[in-house]
Amino acid sequence: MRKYIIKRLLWTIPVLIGATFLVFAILDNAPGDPAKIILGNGATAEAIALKRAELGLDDPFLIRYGRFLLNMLKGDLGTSYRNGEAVTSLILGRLGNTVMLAASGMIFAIIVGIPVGVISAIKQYSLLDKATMVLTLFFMAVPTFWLALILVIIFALNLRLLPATGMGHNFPDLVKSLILPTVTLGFGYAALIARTTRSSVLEVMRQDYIDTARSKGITDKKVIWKHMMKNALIPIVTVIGLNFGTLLGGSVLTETVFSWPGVGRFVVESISNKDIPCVLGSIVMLSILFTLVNLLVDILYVYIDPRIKSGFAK
Amino acid sequence: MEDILNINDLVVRYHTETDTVNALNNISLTLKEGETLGLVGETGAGKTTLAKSIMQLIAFPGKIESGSIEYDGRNLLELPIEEIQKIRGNDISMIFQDPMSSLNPVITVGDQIAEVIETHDKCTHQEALEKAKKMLEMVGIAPERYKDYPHQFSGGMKQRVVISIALACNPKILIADEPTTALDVTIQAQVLEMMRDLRQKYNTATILITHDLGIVAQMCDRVAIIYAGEIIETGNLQDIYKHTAHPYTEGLLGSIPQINKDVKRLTPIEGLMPDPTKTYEGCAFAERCKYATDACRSGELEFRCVSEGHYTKCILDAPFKGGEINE
Repeated sequence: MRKYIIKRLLWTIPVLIGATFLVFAILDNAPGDPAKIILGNGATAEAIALKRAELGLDDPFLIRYGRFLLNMLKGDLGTSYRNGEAVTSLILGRLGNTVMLAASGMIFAIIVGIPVGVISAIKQYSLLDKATMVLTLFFMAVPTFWLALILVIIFALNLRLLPATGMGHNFPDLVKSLILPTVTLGFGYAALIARTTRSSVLEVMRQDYIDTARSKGITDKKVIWKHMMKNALIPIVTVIGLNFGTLLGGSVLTETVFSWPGVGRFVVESISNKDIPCVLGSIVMLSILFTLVNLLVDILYVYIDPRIKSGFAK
Repeated sequence: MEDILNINDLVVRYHTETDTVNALNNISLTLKEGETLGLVGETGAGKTTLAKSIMQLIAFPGKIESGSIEYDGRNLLELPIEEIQKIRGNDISMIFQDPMSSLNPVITVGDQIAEVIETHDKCTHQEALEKAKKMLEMVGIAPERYKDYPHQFSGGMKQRVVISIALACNPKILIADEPTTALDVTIQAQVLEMMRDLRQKYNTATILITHDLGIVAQMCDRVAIIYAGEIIETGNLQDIYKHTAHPYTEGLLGSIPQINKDVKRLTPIEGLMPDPTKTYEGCAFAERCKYATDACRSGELEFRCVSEGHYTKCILDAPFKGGEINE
């Protein structure tokens, strides 16, 4: 098991190299000169040339990328072009907020999605099932920002129950300010989980071992939650893990709409400022987060399905 | 011997969007204490549907339309689900066709056996597990393997585990739905042997579902032949094999290769079972029957007593030869 975890951790390295390379290349080819951005519009040609040399911008692409990787290994993600602060500390200060929002969105999605999917599967073809399927389709298709604005209009502006933006400072306020972003972020995800759960449970429901379980005389509740769910969980967990990336992507929009001080909003700000080190640093952090969540998923598999463990032992 | 299970005029249908499939048409059947009844018929005749009906496991879109299944003086079809759950696994249990898929792949075999014991015996998990180990031993599996998962067992061993689940609470009735069809021949013999031993030991009444008349001859006291959702002939082994009173049974017997006879060809039954979505008059087998007359194709057929305990739905006086199987 430990060997498996180490092996999976080592796999994050090529993933990170791939992700950073792509982002590095894209930002490098984007219009606008970072030196000009730092120095402002009034800067002289000499000053700009000097700044470019200082930042090492005149070196060939691969050398600059290599330098970035080396520094990253040392934990140094460079300094912000905008205010000269260390990128690492800028991001770490925000990462916690993003993790909090992503985690609460994910938990919300799981708590809503799985039971809805199970009930929908058990009551297949019922009105409830049909209504659920239409609603989930709707929530998967709805753009995050639209849902966010609708929620703000209803719960913040009209009902005045929850704050429209920002993050509360004490615990009750924090929870209150977390609700709307969580729901915004989690609804599409919950819909996806519900649909996956439904099809997965429907598949398991028809298996012979479910008849065996019923023929033992155990209650329906036990048949569903013990015999069906443990088998149905594998595709569900896969979907949860893989779509964590989509969730992080969604957090960019959600954080922007709700002025949530997280990495997602930071990326948007950094992109509009062409603050390349900050964008790169954020991508690195989000990639690490994504990889870790999927590592967790892979480890979970082993606990859910014993066949995977013996497959690994070979 | 007393009747332990009494099925009367059972009708089961599957309702699809376009059609209604008549799976069981007025099935009546009795099982006596401690006896083994062979339920024989070709694929699609309704054998598994009948077995699942007794266990109340008919799932959507199937529905038990009418009839009664009496066990222990009570009609199972009228009992609330809680009562059915008390009976399942404890009084009546079932072995399913395919051992490869009838065990839950993510639960250890020990827990799967222990679960049925825990449900009915109201004991702790630990006690149930101890008993589960004994059950494993009884079916010839090392008890230490209780913490292994189904994928670590071979097909024959899985079927042994399935059998030990079915017998764990010492049921009065065991329904075995083609318990050996998915196994190869040597393992088949072992499993049948074991089932016979256990049956004798616990005096369990058994319904053995099969399409293999050889197994019936080895294992059963009585036989019921099922065709197109109807029982068409029932009787003891002698009646069925030596005094065949239905052309379909004759056809089944004629489809078995026999080594001690110089026969150039087997005589398969021509044609197919009638479409279960269509209704017909008279005998379901008439279209395939070489003896059929106009009288066969009209009216409702009733059971006719041939000799004591031997009934047939065929209206003709037996012009049949009957098979000869070494018992």
